[in-house]
This record gives sequence, structure tokens and C-alpha cells, in this order.
Amino acid sequence: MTPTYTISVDTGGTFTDLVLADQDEVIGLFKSSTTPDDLFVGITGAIEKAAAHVGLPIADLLAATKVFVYSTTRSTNAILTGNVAKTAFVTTRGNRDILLYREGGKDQPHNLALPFKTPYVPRRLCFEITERVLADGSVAVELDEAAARATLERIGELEVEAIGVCLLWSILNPEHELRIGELIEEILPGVEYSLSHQVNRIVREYRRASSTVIDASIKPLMRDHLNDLESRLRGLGFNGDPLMVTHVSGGVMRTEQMCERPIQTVDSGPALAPVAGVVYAEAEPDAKAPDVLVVDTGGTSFDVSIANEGRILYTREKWLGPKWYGHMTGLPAVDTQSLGAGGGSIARVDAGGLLHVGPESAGADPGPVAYGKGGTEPTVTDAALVLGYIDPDNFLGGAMKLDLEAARSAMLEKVGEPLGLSAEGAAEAILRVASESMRGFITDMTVAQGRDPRQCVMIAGGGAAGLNIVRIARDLGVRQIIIPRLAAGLSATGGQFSDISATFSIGQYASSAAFDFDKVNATVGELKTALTSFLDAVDQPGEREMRFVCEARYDQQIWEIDVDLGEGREFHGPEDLAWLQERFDAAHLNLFAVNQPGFPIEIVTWRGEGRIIRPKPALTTAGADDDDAGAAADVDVTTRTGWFGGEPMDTAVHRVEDMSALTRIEGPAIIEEPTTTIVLDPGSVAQVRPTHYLVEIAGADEAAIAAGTVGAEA
Amino acid sequence: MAIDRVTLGVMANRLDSITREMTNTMVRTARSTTMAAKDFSTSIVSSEGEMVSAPEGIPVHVYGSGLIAQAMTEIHGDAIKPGDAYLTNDPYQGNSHAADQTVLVPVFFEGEHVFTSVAKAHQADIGNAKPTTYSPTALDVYNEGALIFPCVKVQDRYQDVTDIIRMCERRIRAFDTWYGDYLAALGAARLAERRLQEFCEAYGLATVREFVAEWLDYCEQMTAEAISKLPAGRVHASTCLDPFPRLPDGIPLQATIDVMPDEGRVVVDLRDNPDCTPTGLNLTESTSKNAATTAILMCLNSVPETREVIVPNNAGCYRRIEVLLRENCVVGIPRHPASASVATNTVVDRVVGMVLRAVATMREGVGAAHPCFGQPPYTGVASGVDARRDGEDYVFQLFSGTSGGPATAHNDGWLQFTNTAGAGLEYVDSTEVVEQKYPIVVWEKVVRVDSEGAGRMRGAPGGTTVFGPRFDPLEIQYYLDAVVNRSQGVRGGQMSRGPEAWLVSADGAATKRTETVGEVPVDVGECILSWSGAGAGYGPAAERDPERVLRDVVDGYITPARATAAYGVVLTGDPARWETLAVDAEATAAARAAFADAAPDDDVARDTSLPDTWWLAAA
Repeated sequence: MTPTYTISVDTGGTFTDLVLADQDEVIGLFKSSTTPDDLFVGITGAIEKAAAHVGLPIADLLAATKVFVYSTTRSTNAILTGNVAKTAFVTTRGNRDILLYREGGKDQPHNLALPFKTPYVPRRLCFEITERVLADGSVAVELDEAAARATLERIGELEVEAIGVCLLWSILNPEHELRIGELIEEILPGVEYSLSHQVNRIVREYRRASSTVIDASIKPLMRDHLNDLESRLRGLGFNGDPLMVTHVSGGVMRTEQMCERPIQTVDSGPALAPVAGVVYAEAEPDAKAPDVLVVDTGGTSFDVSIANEGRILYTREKWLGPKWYGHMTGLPAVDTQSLGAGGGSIARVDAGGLLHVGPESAGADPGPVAYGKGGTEPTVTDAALVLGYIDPDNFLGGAMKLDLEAARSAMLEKVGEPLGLSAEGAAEAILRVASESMRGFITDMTVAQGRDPRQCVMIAGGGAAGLNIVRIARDLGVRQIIIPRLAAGLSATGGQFSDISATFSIGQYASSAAFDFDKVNATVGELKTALTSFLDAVDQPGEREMRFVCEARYDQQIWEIDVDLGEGREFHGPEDLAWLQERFDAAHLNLFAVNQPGFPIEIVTWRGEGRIIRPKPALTTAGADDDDAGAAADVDVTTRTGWFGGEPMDTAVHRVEDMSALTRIEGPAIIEEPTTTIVLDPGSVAQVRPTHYLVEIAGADEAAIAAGTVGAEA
Repeated sequence: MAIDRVTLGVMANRLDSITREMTNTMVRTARSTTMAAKDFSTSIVSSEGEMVSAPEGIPVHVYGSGLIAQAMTEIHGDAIKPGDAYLTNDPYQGNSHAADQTVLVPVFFEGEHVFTSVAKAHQADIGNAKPTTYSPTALDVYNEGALIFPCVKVQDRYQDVTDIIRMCERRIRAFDTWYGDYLAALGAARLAERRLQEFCEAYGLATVREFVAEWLDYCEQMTAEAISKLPAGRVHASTCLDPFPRLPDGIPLQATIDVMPDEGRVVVDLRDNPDCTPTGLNLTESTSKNAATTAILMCLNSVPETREVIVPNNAGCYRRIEVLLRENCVVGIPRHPASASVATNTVVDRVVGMVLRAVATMREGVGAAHPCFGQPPYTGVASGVDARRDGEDYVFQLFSGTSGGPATAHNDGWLQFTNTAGAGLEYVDSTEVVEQKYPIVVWEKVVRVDSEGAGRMRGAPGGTTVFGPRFDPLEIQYYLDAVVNRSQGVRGGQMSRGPEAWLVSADGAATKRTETVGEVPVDVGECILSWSGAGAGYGPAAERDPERVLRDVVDGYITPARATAAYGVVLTGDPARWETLAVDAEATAAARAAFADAAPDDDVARDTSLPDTWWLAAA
């Protein structure tokens, strides 16, 4: 019988990753270079590799594929490069500068010379409409239709391609927004538009407006891109379910549904990493912890996310680009935070003799000194090379020869001499400083989410993860790290395990002091209706579930926290309210270590997620793609000198295509997988599993106390 | 034993990480909008009273951390023990001003006092005679009415000293909000205590003490290095606060600044200034020193596009910036019972502004023009009763708008500057959140057209904010500055528009408020129009890139008329249709040539018309 395949593709900045699975298990990871001009070319490249691996022509593989999951950076890249539709912003009179002001704030208080942040829509394309709704949903000033028509006609004159409409308090009374939508269809037929109460029905006008203009600005291109991709795949023989596109909540939905709110695709790739992380954590019987910390290290970025008890943690403050200077998507999203650090980060010594690593990066071009492409500044990759962690003759599976001598001399000249260190000492210092900033970054994030790193199992993915993850974990007090053998394709792996889902929010205020039971039940009911119609529109089989959350705060607090409401309890009397209060008090305690039980609470937003649980494959038993994948089955152990803590040590190098289970590797050692390298510091031990390595760190706890990162009691 | 530089950097990073953790805790657990707007700071001070870490503190706050920690040691000496926490807001002994209540936790390790964690927050109410935390017209501290805590013990053995809390319950409006914010600050300081103890355990006490010394030395060295790039010489700065109740001539202020690049040192002498005034405007020791230091740090750190702090803000850097003060001076050390109710802005802004501008006169490329001044209604304190909450009282500070930052040689001013105390770090209110929490309506919150100080680099424009009560009257407290003595440009740059406050009645008639210090009742149906000040310009306006001027017109920051009259940029096309506009290079060159004979007036061709009162349509 021909197997039934599932393909998941993640188009990243450099590589397009494809993970292939049949109905039973994951078969492998296949990488191809991303082709930004036409992503389809890179995707087909990866499909060809997968097809070759299973010995089928590409058409046959696609014909046997039932589910195709697509995760794209198309929208993220379009936004970051400004390559989106010409978009206008329409808002309530007196509020033209919502997008310009954002929510205020900056860093560097003493720097007066920073250029002011650029708004998502330039001020010239921001328009006001006379109307005003108040905080209780009542209309204070009627919509001035004549003026609105004139404004839309003016927008038409400017050849705008998309319009984002966000009026104040449209979340409570959408009449005016809906009417403007009608006027757009009448006056500017063919112009794409988004209405804020439909895109993201939450209080806080900047976040809602930002969601809305981002959504509108990518509507035309994402509609074209997704439809084009789907029809070209079908042209190649794909005959399965509708194309599934991943969203920022770590799930997938059909192209058609996604085209309604394409903003959900923005930054969706990294959201899949924790989906895979949770699967790996569940697959490892010897590593059980309430929290899973997922890190994904590429050449230029270090992404971190967290799951608690199998649930991935969310944020409402998703920034595209740097905090304060970028744009908030405003949507609830998997909380993946990104530090601009990786193999390309440049090291330099300042005038006071202090070593800094990053934020400047050599990127891929010219790249590290060792690439020999003109880079002159020593980077983290150069440091790893000098320390013997990377084999100059076997980098990226031998695809590129590295120039060790050039790296050494740059290391000596730029870092060693100013600090009075040898080349190896300088390299060690660079890794130490780079690891420290990653440690600090993880700490900031876990603290903000109220998690204790010592309670976490870490999942480390990404091509560069293995170089220093053991030392970072040790400083954090993490005792166990799972490094998937498909580490270099964590997001694409996540695509195999994602469910069909959608999230909706309603910004309906409620206070426990004067709880409006009818209004709350109606709100939850409205969410249920929306979720039901989403779920009903999906043909695929699978168990369906709904979960609800409210965003609440103590009376007069500023920021809300999530309170899990389970499957959507209705509120009828004091006992229901007491139940809510208890859940809130507990959540507050969990997050901030303090609470005021019984103090009145305010609920600002209600959120529901509907999910169709897809059948999942087992994790793979095979290795990653490589021309010799499956051929070399033996463990190939050699020895070279690796430097640890400033000392040269004989270090076993395991070049692995396939290893039997139960193999145990003790540090110091280096494991070279085709797409990633894992450095085991002395004191760490790797258990080799069919699907991953479980690295255990002796004395991590003491090291973390020594590093001052964790408390004796959190 | 010297600590190697790599370990030094790693340890410093860890301390900053702890301070950030404190900040996170405060921001997420805060109750008042004031705190949520980030009018708070966290820092770590050594047992010697030297501030070691404050990576994200707002400038006006953190300088004094060392002074208040020193005060704690002076007052309580050997009685300080683990489990203690102290509360201070004492303007006479190290604190910034009475509204900034500070929790200090002495951190012990192996029986020794090693650090003090400091969490300072501007409270929503502190029991002043009037429902505001800013009392500029207070005759003295008695008249001001603030509860003053001269570094009193507020926790003993990790338990609240309930006497103190009960005093606050009797004297502080919106006590629940106060207590919530107190807990937020205490929580942050206690968290830092645990983290710092772990830090000591990790490295050992001797190494930690060594680290503090060496880290401060390093920061001192970086400061010296940065100062060595400034022009050498002595420069005199002066400015004058607007006339003020009981001060008909305002407050003339001056400073002498000695920049010694060879020695890597700057001395700012503030002693030749008037005595303390019978107002709440007097600065405290911490805000006086801070003002001068902030200005110098801004001169050293203002580099476009960098994401890196060049000179860290801590006690090491303060060693290279010496500020000379005297007692009983409006910019010095106040003598009890002089009031320093508004010591974090107004005079502070003037001192920072005059130093920045004076440094700019030394050489092209350094310093800045004057920023905006005053605290207009958009960031005033509103109070009233909330009919939606059974007539409960409310008091809160608005952050519903922006004021303009000063131009530097490198860039136009920062649009959301507010004042030098926050320097743009503060958040701006969400109108929906404000309206959900308080019974007011914010009708407009936009950029104020044509308000900028022109220049090669222009100051940032001010803002227009219109708001009013919903069900019951409110009172708004604010004060203006730079109405008479306006923000001055530098090196040929021009002055900006100052702030204005107008009361718009229910029939649409607008009346300009003439008082400097406003305590304005606003009836239902009426609105306050707040026009905030803009930043001044740097370099001649005729040298501004015409394309930038065109962009300003297209984006509506300035009118086409002003582009021509103030910048000498002549545009072709239809002004009503920006897409048709272009720079007429020839006419522009001619217009600019004419400027050489007669520079245009600073206020030439500004559109100063009041906004349309469309909101009156609301029933």
C-alpha cells in the first residue's frame, strides 16, 4: 500500500526546511536554499530531495500527500522590507497619530540623537473621520457620511491598495466601522480593507490599529501568494486536503480562512518551534519537568519560547522589529522572543578594556573570518573553530572549508592582544560573553513569564544551538537538554504536530464588583458561535475542542494576565464568580509570587481557541537528509583537541549518521550531526536516543547558584 | 586580586539583569497609571552608597539612589539588619521629591551589608493638601502637605511596620492604589535582595566587593574617555523660568561649565543661583546634581543609530562629572521647610536645557537646543468623582499626548520627549484604557502643527490634546513654562512654540488660560485644550535639507507657508494634494539667499488656529 504522506515546509531566511512524514512516523528533514524571488523554487527543491529519499517521482510523492503544512516568512519579510501594499489608515477624528505615537517609550534615556520611530503607515496616509463612540459603546458623535465619502474619494485619488480602519471603541459598537467598510466597497471597489473589530477585537487602540493596518497591508500579497502556491502544488500533482498555513498561535488553518486575516501568518515560523519542543519533551521518559524551555539558534538570531504543562505560553506584546522601534502585531501569539545573537555576532574590545559580543553581526556575507569571504572581525563561529568545536574540514557536512589560521590571527589581534589572552583564551572569553547575554535574555523572559529555569527541560534547536547550549543551560540551572537530531529543522518538525486552530478575542469589560452575568455569558456565547463556525467550515476529521481564557487584572491594575477558563463555563451566580476569582488569584500568584485574594478584579478581554486535533506521526527513527543518509551506520569516533575552561583536552568526536540507542557519550566530546554540532562540556553526558540526544548536566544547580541566576526560592 | 575583564563584564551583566528583573516586577504589578507610565526606577547601590546598576532607570530618578542609601546608613547606622526595609521620600536627605516614594532594602551576606536595593516610584497620591502630587505654588512643606518619611523603617523582620501603613491609610487618597504600588516596589526590592544574595554566594564576598570597585573604575574610565572628545573650555549657561506666582521675574538661572578633556573631567558650578523660593519649585540635592549630570551624559551619549550605551549611568561616571552646589539655593540643597514638591521637573528641565545648549555653543556637533518646558494639561493631574463607581474619588496623572524634544546636530528632536526627567522613556496613555478606567473623554491627541523650532535639524513638534469630563465636573492641575521665556534654538536654530491651555465652553467659545499654575475646574460639556511645547532647532533653518522640509509638509508637521517663510523652501504643486508637491530648487536657492540679509522671525507664518470644535456635537 502506498503510504499517506504529510509534508510540512518552513521557509526561513536562508533555508527552506521540509519535514516528511507518513501515516506512522517522521521520515526526515530535507533542506534547500530559500529563493526569495519565488519561494516556490526553494520549496520544490526540498520536495525533490524528499521524493528522492523515498524513491518516488515528485508527482507521485505529492499525489500520495494528504496534508501539506506551509509556514512562511513571506509576510514577515514583506513587512520588514516595506514591500507591502500601499496602505491607508482611517480612524476616529482626533486620533490621526495612533500609529505614530504607539504606546510611547524608548530605551537609551541619554541619547537625544536617535531618529524617531517610523510609523507603519506614514502620516500622509492617515485619515480622520468625524465620529465618536464612548467607553460604554454609546455614540457621542454620529458618523459624518458625507465627510467619510470625501475622505475615501481622496484616498482613491492616492492610488491606495489597502485600507486599515480602526475607530475608537469599535470593539463595543462596530456600526461605524461596518458602515465605512460598506462605503469602501461602494466607492473604492477592489481595494482590500480590514476592520479593526474583525481583525483583533481588543481594547487599546494602538494595538488594534496596528493589527488592522498590518493585516490590510499584506492582504493582497498573501492572498496571491497562498493561492498561487496552492495551485502550483496542485499543478505538480498534489491532490490532498486544502493547503494548511501556520499562524502565530502555533496552529494551522486553511488558505481560504487565512486570507481573511493574513496577519496571523506574521512571524508564524518561530511559533512552531515550541510545538515541536513539547513533542520532544513528551517523548523523553527521563526528562519530566513542568516547564519546557525551547531555544532555536540560527546564524543571526536566538529565539526562545516556553511551554508550561504542555501549553505554550502566549504574549499580547508581539513586536515586529525591536521593542519600541518596531510595530506591535497586537495579536495573541506564541511568546517567542528573539535576541540578535548567533554564530555571526562580532566580538570587540572597548576603550575601557571590556569585551562585547554583538549586537553587530557579520551575517552570512562576509560572515566570520574563517569563511574567507572578506570578514575581518572575529565572531562566535570563529571562536568555536579556534576552540576546536568545529572541524574546519567538515563544516556544514563539508560543504565549506574554514580557514582556521585566519580565525586564530584575527582572534589574537582583535581580542587576545588587547586583553592579554592567547587565541584560545580570547575565543573562550567570546563564548563566555556570548553565552552570558543569551543566559540573561532567557532569564528576562522566564522571569517575565513567572517561570523558574531550574524547573525547565530545555529543547535546543537550530544549526548553531549545540555550540554553547550546555554552558548556557548550566548557568541557568537547567539539568536536562533535549537536542533533536532534526535540530536544524525545529519549526518544520513542529508543522507535523500542529493542530488546526483559530483564536478569537472580544474586548468586553467586566468587573467582579458589579458583574454583569448576562453580558459575560453573551460574550462567551459569541466566541463559541465564532469558533463553531470556524470548526464547522473544516472538513478534516479529528477531535474538536474549545478552550477559553480571560485577560484580567486586579481593580485599577494596568496590565492583564491570562486566566484559564477551561471549556467555557457559564456564569450564573456567586459560586461561578468565586471560581473565577480563585483562578485569577492563583494565576497572579503563579506569575508574580504575590496576590491579594478576594480583591476585586476587572476582566478586559475574553478569548477563545477552537482546535481540531490532527492525527500525528511518531518522531522519526531516521537521521536528517544527507546524501549518505542511511548508508553509514557506524559510529565513527576520532579525537581532536578541544578547549574547555581554558584547558586543552582530548576530545572525542562522534560523527554520527545512525547510532544504536543506549549509546552514552561523556563530555568532553563533540557530536557532529549533518546539520548541527553539539559540544559536550566536561561533566555533561549525552544519552543517544533514536530521535534526539538527552544531555544531562551534573551540578547545574550549583553552577546556577554560582552564576547568580536563580534563587534558592523563586 | 584583580578581576579579569571578561568576568567583570559578566558580573556587571548579571547585576543589570537583576535590576531589569526588578523593573519587570514593578511594571507588571503596578496599580497607578503613573507607575504604569514608567515613572519609577530600580537600582542597586553598594554598601558604600555608590550606585552600581540602573540600566533602565529614568534619568531624574536614579542619580539620587546613592544619596538615599547613604542617608539610610547615616540615620540608622548599626541598627540596620536583615529583614529591614526603609521608606523615604525626604527631599532634605537625598530623595528626588516627596511624590517619589522609595523603598530601600539593605542586602546582607555573611552578616555584612553589601548592597542596598532601591525601588523608587512616583505615587498617584501622597496626601498633599491638594489632590495632586505636584504643588508648585506650595509656600513650604507644611503648605504642600505631603507626608514626609525621612527614611523610616517600614518593614522589620520582613513584616510591615503597620503604624506606617495605618498613617498612610488616614492621609492618602486612593489608599488601595497607594498600597498596591507600595507592594510592587517592596516586591521588587525584596526580589533583588534574594538575587543579590545568590550573586554573593556565587562569587564570594571578597570578589563581589572587588567587583564593585573595579566596575566603577571601569565606568569612570569610559566616562573620561568620552569627555576627552568634547571641546575644551569654560562656557557660561543661563536661562530664566517664566514669571510664577510670588516670583514676578521668574527664576533667573545660570551655570558655569568647565570642560577639561585632557583630564577627562567636567565641572558644573550651580552655586551662583537664587536662594530657595517660597514655592514648590526648589530642587533637591539629588535633582540638582542629577540635572547637571544628565545634561552632560546626554552630551556624551547622543550618537545617532547606536543601540549601545556609551557611558553607563552609575557612580563611576559621576566621579568625572562634578557638580558644585550650595545650601539654601533654588538649584542646590534645600533648607527645611522649603518645598521641593516639583523638584523633578520645571527648574530641572531648565537646568538640563541650559547646559545642553551651552555645550552646543562650544562646537558644532555637540550638545542640543532647548527642549520643551512645563507640564501642560495633557500630562496634568485630573481629579473628580466617578459616577460609574458610586461616586468614588479618582486622582490620576494623564500621559495623553507628547511634548517635543530638542534638536541635536545629528537629528530632529524626539517626538515623545515629555520632559528631561523621563527623556522619552515614559509610555503614552491608551485613550481607550483611560476612558475605561476614568470618567473622562480624550477627544484629540495629535501632533501640533507648526509648533517646532526651525533649524538644520528641527525640534520635535508639540502635541494637541483635548479632553473633558463625562458625567461630573473634573479639576485639572498643571503648570506652564516657556510661555514668556521660550525654548531657544542654538547655532542659528530657532525657538519653538511654548505650551498653552484653553478652556472650551459648551457653546464652543475658547478662552486662553492666563495663569501659569492651573487648577482649572472643567464642567460637563466643557473641554480643556492642551497645547504642549515643542523642541527648539539646531543650526540655521536655511541649511535644512529641502527634501526633509518637503517631507514635513507632506506629513503635515508644518504648513507649506511656513516651509517657505521659515526654511526658504519653495514648493510647486497643489498644497491641498501633497502628492503633487515638489521642491522648486531655483526658487528655494533664491529665497534662502535672501535669508542671509534678514533671517526670518522665529514665529514666521505659523498656523496658530484653534482646532475645530467638532466634539461639541456630542449631546
